[in-house]
Amino acid sequence: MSNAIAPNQSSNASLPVDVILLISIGLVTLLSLVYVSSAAQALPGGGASYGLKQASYIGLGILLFIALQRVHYMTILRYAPQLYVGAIVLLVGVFFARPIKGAHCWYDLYFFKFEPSEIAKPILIVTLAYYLMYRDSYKTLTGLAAPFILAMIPLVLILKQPYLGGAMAFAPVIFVMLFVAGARLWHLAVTCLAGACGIVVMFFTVMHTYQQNRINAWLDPSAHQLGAAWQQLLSITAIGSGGFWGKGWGQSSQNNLHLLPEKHTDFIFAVVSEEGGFVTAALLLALVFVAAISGLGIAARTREPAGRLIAVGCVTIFCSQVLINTCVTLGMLPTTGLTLPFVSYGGSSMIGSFIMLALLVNIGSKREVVLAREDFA
Amino acid sequence: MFKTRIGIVALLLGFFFLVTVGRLFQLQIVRYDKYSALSARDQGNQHLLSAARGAIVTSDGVVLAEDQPFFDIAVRVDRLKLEHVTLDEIKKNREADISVEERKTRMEQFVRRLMDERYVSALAATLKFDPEELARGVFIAIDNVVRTPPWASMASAQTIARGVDADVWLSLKTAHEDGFRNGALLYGKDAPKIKDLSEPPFPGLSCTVSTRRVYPRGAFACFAIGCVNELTEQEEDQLRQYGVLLESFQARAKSWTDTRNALTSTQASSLGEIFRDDPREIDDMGVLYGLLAKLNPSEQQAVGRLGMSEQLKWIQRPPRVKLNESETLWLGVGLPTSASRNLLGSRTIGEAGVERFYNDYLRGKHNLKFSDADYRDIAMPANFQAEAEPHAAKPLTLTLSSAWQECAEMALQSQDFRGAIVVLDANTGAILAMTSNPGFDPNLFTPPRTGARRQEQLAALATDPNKPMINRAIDGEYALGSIMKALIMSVALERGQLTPQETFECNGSIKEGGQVFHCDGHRAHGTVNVYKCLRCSCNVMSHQVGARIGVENLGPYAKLIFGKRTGIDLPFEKTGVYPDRAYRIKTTPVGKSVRPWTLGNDFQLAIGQGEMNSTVLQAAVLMATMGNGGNVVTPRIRLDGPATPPVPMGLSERSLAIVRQGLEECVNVGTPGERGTCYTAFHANGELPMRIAGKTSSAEHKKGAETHAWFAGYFPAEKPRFAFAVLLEEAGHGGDKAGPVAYKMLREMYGTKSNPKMRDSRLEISQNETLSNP
Repeated sequence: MSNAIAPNQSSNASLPVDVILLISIGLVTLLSLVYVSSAAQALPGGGASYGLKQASYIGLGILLFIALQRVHYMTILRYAPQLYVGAIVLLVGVFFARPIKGAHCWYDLYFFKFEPSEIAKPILIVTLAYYLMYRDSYKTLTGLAAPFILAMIPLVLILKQPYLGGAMAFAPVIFVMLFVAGARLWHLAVTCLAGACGIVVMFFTVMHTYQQNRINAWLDPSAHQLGAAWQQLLSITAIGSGGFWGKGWGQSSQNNLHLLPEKHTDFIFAVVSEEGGFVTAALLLALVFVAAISGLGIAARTREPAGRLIAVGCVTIFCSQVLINTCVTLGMLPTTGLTLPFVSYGGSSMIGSFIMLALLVNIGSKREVVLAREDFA
Repeated sequence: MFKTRIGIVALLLGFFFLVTVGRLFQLQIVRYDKYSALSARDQGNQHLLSAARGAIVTSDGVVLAEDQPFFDIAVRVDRLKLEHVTLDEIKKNREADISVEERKTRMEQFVRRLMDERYVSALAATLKFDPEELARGVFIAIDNVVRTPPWASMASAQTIARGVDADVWLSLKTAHEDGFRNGALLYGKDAPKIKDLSEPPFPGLSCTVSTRRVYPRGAFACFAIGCVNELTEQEEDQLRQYGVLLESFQARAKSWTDTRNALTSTQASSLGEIFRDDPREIDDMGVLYGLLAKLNPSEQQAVGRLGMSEQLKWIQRPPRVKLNESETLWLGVGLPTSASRNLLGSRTIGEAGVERFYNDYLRGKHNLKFSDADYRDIAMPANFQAEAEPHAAKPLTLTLSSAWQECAEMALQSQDFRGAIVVLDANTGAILAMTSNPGFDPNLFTPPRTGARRQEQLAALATDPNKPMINRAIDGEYALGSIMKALIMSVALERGQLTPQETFECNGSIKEGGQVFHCDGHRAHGTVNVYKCLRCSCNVMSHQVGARIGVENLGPYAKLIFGKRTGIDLPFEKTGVYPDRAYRIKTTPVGKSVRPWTLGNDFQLAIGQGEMNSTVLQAAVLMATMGNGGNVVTPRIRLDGPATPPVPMGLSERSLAIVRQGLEECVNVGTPGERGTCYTAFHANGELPMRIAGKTSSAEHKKGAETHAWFAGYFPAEKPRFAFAVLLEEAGHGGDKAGPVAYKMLREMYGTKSNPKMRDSRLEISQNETLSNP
């Protein structure tokens, strides 16, 4: 097998990296630096220290990005089973770590809090691609079970942390990857329906009261004005009061009154929208969209099956995180606790995002000998 | 196919991004005005406009309690210009784990340091206030703010001085607020320049108006009114947590814990189905309260079938304070602590009387006002607008008649004994007068209860051996004595165990079980029938009649009044005691056998002695029942409150007519040798314009002490309209002591036959009038 997928020297390494993708992501991280330092003004240490830390996370991400360009993604793919087992071990291990804020989401490494679910995301994408690349069993309904089980193990572990948002953001990835790989539409529709039923059942059985409350609050915010919808109400107010041009850097009301919790992490989009206004918020979304389209372009240009699946997976998880996060801040979805990739303050999120970016660019810049049919579906 | 599918994914993504941007557009552009106002609200000043407390008036319009304006000075703590003391210090001090004494010393240190601050000393000079008092006010204001994390509560102004001179207050207000200072009104668009020129003399200061409870008539009707106090810190914390303050919160929590622990697993699961939550896991009274409030009638019935409705009803009694929407917003009720914000505006709360019982009605509706950093009002969009003004409650009108109340107080205070008088409408239960002696001046209790003289007076009230704070009309339990005979006779007649013709021989005493029971003064009444028994209060006949009925058979009648609260809308009502088996079981300590009931006990019960106890109000209700044809009324003191329909006792008019005849003879028969026990009191000093009926009682309660003197009755005797009860503690004979007090009260009200008066035209009694329900 290693022979079959060995890099072909003649067609390799000569392609330019996707400039549009890198420029748009670069601009997004710049926005992140600007608004994280504003959002953190009132926090102990002040905005500058948070800005510096965020810059160092970005720097770390860039280093990792460059390092990953030196490895061929096929090499990484070869170790997919080992990586998968490693991710599971990390996800199980976190339950034995000291809980932070009552949740088993982080390893406390003293200099920063490491979140295994962030690293598990790219690994899961690679694993799914590894499983799907030369098979067509997923074209039967029963054959769909294997990739789902593969995905469900880490997802259930993440859900149990409890980290609903992380699990929620990944669900679309499985569907989109299977869809792009060529699974039959009605199979996916049936699975989707079953999944929806599962969620409804889950709501009434295993979900924590606080999670139910959040959903109830989202369904009827006025009734929960002072309870679970509080964050969202503040966030909507902040965003709405930003107007077209915004209030200007460091001028957000929620900043002054320290009202909005998690404003530099999960609710950073509210700060961007309030201080930067519609102009900046729409620009941010446009940059993300441009990055996503160029990511999909990479997938479309890649003829190697695993590479295109990984590319699609990375784009999907990036977009689903952005969309879920912004919809939460905009009051269109219940509060889940999900970061905005490349923007929210935090090391794990930033590094996880850069790993996926690196994979994407890696795929785009390295052409592969294609052993599959052009249309392997 | 692969590329097509990627294209579909790209299209889907594009759609989702468009929807998101659309939402952004909706919030930031379409609804910009609404949200920018909301945001300004959170950023600017928030004032809770406290409503004035509602007035309390009598049914004839005499004001018993009202709020008067009080000029206050408040500051926004974060804008205080302090040179030496920092807020951080005070916050640290607040959080420090130190003893109460240490805390006090430290507070004094802070107060002294604050006195040295230029801001404080200059403000004290302007206000003509004692600097120390002002510094203490400033310290408490800061301490209050740092108590609630985070410091977001700084946006609220904290009162630091109360009762400022009106002129000083006005000059400060013009210097600090509105268009006067920033010139916006006067100079239009040049305003910013002018605003820059004038730094206010005291940054962060604002002038507020609060109110102060005043009782214009002092001690008049003090027991009906009660008094007010300030919320304690704990009560305020409960309000911040739950939004309601239940009367005796701890007691309710304990009751719930007991109820919950006693649940069997079947009960728990049935209750769990009703609550949709495991009752054994509900620790939080706020949660329980919410669950109970949501039960629909069928669920309530289900709770009743579990035999828990009584406990739950008690837990669920109306809250003493229930915050309205503005206040919950202001206090951040139910929010995680990190977001809870401000302090309750008006901390006045009713402590006793109707001030307590109707606290939630009287305290009115508070409101929020939002203004920007320069105190310019922010126009809020309609659906977020708090109403511009707070709503003072409408006056609470009492059933009390000031004329009746004056007469009752005059009569009771004309003698030296402790005691109480209640007058009520015999048909509706409306209280016309209620007084107790000695009384107190409720003005003394109005916060702030500061000043050495005030403290002295309060301490004197608290330590007075006569206990002037006790409302003896409902809060004192007394042996009822012979008044019980009216009930005994009517029940015996009703049950056919006595006829009006039947006679008993009284030689002054009767023996039973080795014990001798005497008539009053060992006097032999000779041949006694039911009329004479009531007229001359013959114990010997009553003992025998009472023994015929027995305690358990009397229960269904007696327990409609005795051994339970009458249900008057005043707090702290006592139940009295009706010593039937159920009561004895309840009061028997665990592991001991229940005391047997003897014939001797029946003898005692028949004359309202022994274990039996009653309140003055219950005696008046008994007389109302005798007078109005056997209906037990629920007394009430709020005029327009919901009336509870009377409960028929099950006594026929035939039996009652006989008893009423006896009760009338008690007052009106003056034949020597056959004279009623209360004849002299009512006929020695001029006849009243109408005939009274009633029953005296001299109730023994303690060996060696004088008896309690009672007189309870109703009038006019022909067609009873009003009932009353007079009690004098340890005064002696009922006819000699209590009778004259009742007479004095009635004469003051109606004058005498030769010289009738009309103190309150609505309550006039005329001989010709066909009396019916007023």
